[in-house]
Amino acid sequence: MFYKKLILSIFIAGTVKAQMNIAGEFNPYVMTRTADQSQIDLPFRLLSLDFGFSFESFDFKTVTGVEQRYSTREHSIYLREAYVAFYPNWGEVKIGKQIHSWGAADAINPTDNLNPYDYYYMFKAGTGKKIGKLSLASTVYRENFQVELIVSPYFTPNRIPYGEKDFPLALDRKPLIKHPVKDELELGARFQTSLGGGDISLSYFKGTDRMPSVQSAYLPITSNGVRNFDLGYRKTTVLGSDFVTFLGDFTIRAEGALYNTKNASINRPVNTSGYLEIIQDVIYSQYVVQLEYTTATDIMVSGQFIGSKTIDEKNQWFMPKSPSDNIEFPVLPFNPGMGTPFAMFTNKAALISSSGVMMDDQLELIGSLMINLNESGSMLSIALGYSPWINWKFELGTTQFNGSNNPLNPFTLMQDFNHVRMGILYNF
Amino acid sequence: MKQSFLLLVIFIAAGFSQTGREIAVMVDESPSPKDMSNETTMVLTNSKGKSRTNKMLSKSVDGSEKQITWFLEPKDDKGVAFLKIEYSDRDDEMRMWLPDFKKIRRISSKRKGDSFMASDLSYEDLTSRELDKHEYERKEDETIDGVECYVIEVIPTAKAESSYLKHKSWINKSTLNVVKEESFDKRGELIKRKKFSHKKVKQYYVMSQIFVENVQKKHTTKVTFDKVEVDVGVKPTLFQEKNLKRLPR
Repeated sequence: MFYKKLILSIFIAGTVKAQMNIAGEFNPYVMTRTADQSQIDLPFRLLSLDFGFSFESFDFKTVTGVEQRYSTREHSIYLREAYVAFYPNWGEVKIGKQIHSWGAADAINPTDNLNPYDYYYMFKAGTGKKIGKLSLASTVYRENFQVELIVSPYFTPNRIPYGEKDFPLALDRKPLIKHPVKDELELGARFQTSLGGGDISLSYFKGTDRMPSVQSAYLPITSNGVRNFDLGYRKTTVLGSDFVTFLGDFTIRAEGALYNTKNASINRPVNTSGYLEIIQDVIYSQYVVQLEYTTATDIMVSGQFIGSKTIDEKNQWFMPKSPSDNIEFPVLPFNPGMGTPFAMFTNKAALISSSGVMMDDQLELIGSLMINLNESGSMLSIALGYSPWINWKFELGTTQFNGSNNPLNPFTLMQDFNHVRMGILYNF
Repeated sequence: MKQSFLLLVIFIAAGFSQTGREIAVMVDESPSPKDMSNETTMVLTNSKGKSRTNKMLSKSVDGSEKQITWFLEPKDDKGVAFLKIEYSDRDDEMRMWLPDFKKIRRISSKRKGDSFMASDLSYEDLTSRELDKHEYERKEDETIDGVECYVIEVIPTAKAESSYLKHKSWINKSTLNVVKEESFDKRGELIKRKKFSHKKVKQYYVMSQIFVENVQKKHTTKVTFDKVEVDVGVKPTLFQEKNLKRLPR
């Protein structure tokens, strides 16, 4: 009680002298399926409210989201970020639930693994698709370099749309996680310096996968052929590097990360009869190279080459009860539990994007085309924003996936998600 | 009387004997504040007379060689910030803080002709002109709005990597401020007409307004500088990335 009163007193004392900031956006929109003009029934962020105040060298900031679903008229209010930032002369310190961003490339950042993703907002730009995470972050700035350290005590997985019939890649139901994360501590460090007219950075991250994976199983396979797999989360270490440099009128941004993922230690059941565990040790990489050019009419054109590759994969099932037994049990294809969400679509793609404003900033046009370089598949996205009055924008956009005859091709699976999007955006 | 006449002749002769470069040196060496801060209002008006207003806060040192600008309006740009550091021996450094992405984006300083926030001012217009990267040619003096002006033609050399072919500048003879300028594109066609107003703050003449007309696009930008403060001790450490993330109090 005493501490609550103390915190409240500090809060009130602080706000009296502090400079208050309130901002946000109101963004109702509808998505209509291209195939049959039916409405896509997924929750969306109707309102985002930033509230904060600054006092001397301190900032207090919160970002609140209001999520709405048309079909049920249900809404939920949730705190996306709430942190205190301190700005001493040497740098900055932030503590609380916050979103971090690493990487030099646009939208696709293999080095950026600090926050989980919210797959409901996978196509949203910027931090809108990330989930805030309780962490302590500190950056030291020096003349020609900066060092950032981030510690997070709690594990948070990606938010995946389970049981959403309107989200094509959704699982029917939320899988049961049999092996909860024991060591939740996550660490990140990033060093950035200017070099030869550009910037280069090196990063390190050690944490837990954001997507679950198979950790154990039970023998025998059930009569209907269903294998009884138990899920958990692997531990992953990421070494990353990114750079930005300029070549004539072109800007080059590149980013790459090397991941080493291993099973975490798990709690074995007391009765281990027929119980198997997998020992997995996989090294994989993700990278993006971006070439960017701005035309004389201020239209920005960028091309990205995106790739991922499994470099080394070791999978071995073993039976803890009798480790010497030779186990014949199928190994599922490896799926990365960390990294850029676009890796789940393909492991080699080209992304061409263009954006420009015209009519005195009133009309904004954004287009992007992702082409799967492995097998047939593409994603075309076009967005138009018209702002007749200041702070108001009418939005119209479409996303079209085009797959192949292969029903398992992710681009084919996403075809049902082809849609037209209409909305209003009001910034305040 | 004879003495006065002689002095006048010498003065006029000296005035006429000044080359374009010497005038440019005089302008360059005229007293300027160590640092400056202001609130900037930028009104963009299109050919149909429709206007949009941007508001910013800006702080600079060393004649704007180091400059940081925070955007306040329109609301969807609030929090966006821009840092520019000019170097004489290498490319300038330009960075933008994009709060929606929580990222500082390094941007190219080579494309100086790109528009600054959709205005008629380019990044080059906001950058100090280095004396040695330009050639100067004196033209016949003119009077603009009752103000006697030197007129010089400023021709960027290849080293300046300019998006312009040349500029024609009118310089107030008594204050050594540029009051008017015409800029020509690489084809030699007039592209921008600029008018500058100044006011005296402490012992300096500082810019209070810029009016730019892009004659090719039939578009104008009026930039007004309010709450101008000079020599208030802006620290060089302000021009760091971390300060982009936070609006000044």
